[in-house]
Amino acid sequence: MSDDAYKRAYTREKMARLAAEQLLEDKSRELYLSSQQLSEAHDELKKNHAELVTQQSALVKNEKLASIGLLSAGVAHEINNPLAFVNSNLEMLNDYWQAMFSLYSAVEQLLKSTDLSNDKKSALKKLIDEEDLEYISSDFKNLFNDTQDGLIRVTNIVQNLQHFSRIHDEDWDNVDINASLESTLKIINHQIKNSLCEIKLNLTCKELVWCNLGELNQVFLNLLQNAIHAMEETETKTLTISTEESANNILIRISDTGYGIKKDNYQKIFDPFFTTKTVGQGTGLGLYISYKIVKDHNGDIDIKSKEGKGSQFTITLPLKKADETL
Amino acid sequence: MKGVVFNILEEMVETNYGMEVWNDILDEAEQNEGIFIAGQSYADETLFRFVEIICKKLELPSATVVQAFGEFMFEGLVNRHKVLMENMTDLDGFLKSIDSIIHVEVGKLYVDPNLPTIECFDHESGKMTMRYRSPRKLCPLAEGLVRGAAVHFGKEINLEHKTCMHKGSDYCDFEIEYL
Repeated sequence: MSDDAYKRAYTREKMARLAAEQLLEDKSRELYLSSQQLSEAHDELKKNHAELVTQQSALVKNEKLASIGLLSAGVAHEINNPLAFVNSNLEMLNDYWQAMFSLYSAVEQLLKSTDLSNDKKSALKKLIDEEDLEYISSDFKNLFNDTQDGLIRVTNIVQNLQHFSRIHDEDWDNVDINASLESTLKIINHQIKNSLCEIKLNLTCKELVWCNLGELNQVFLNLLQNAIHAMEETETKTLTISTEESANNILIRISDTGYGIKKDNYQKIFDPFFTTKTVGQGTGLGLYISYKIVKDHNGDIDIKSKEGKGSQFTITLPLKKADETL
Repeated sequence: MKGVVFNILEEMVETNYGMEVWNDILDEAEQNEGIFIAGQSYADETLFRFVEIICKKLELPSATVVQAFGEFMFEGLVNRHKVLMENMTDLDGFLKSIDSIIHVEVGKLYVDPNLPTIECFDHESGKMTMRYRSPRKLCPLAEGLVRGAAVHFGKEINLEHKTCMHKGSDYCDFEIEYL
């Protein structure tokens, strides 16, 4: 074969190689772009997945709260009926006892007089001793008062539990939240005085807020009482309350310098019957109800807390009615 | 160094001096196979060895050879990557888009292409400084490529190599004046 034939064949091969390389490059570019799209799609999926997980946990939490709320409201309703007649019967029993007590007092007077023969006196005295009526008459008052206190507590719990299904539209109005906070502070004035807390107010929000004042006062009361309680044993006792406007919302902050919330309890503090107070001190319903009320106002409660340093509750509420913002 | 650079060097030698000379260079560099695949990476030293042999054969300093190769390489790269040049209409725009467009596109084709970084600064006088940074310090090649680009866009230029990595600087500055 001549050199020329080789050269032609070589040139052909070279052209073929360049074409093959071009093809490879085109494919590489396509591959790169596909991989880029895939990676973007993957990132998007990851983001969506993270959002779903957050939404799911919020849903589960809401569902849990809703079902516990429903159950509690049902139980509360069932307890309410017997509670009503127990309360009324107790009042009646007290009246009956007063009548019996008058009789007993009269008998005691009789025993001291000379109107009765000694035989009859000893028979009566024996009966009084046998039935321990002297002790009963002195102990009754204590027993009755404790029972009544207990019933008041049960009644309060039941009323709180029944709270959920009741937010009446007619109770809603445009309200000055600052005034509401100040009036709530007045209600717990004696607690504040006893606790030796320093109060700092920074109420700058000038807008009225569309809300159910009675409900919100309960939220403020719960949070303020919790804050005071948290500072019982701390050296610094500063309760800071502030309001400010932020993007069509009001932010209400209640901060204390108390013992803070343990990280483990963050998730639980809004659960019903969760309390860190000693038995008999708290029902564990305060924050649960507060959460429910704020949610019913299309708002949110956020907590920041550092153990040993204090906690801050931030309530975010829309300034306007939901349909007015549209 | 990517195989495509070796391919274009081979083309240049074959075009100017014939196939035999390229074969001789391969022999002398002890490259028995002499196969270079465009997308594959090869040792920089192999290219430097080729340049050394060519310099010896032509009795020219390496900077001159490398610069001439840069000029030739520009057209070789354009022929192979026509897509990249589709929207390039003038020399100044092209030089300023090397880092932001050309190198990005090259990154799509080759894994770990070890590209230099290029920055451009305009002067009030109308001149432009192109700053080149690369651990390979192949500034003569970069200069050749700029000259090749000027030929491609039909633009006459004055190019001054003001600052050089081979003289202790961290970068090379080419001052370009458009005539």
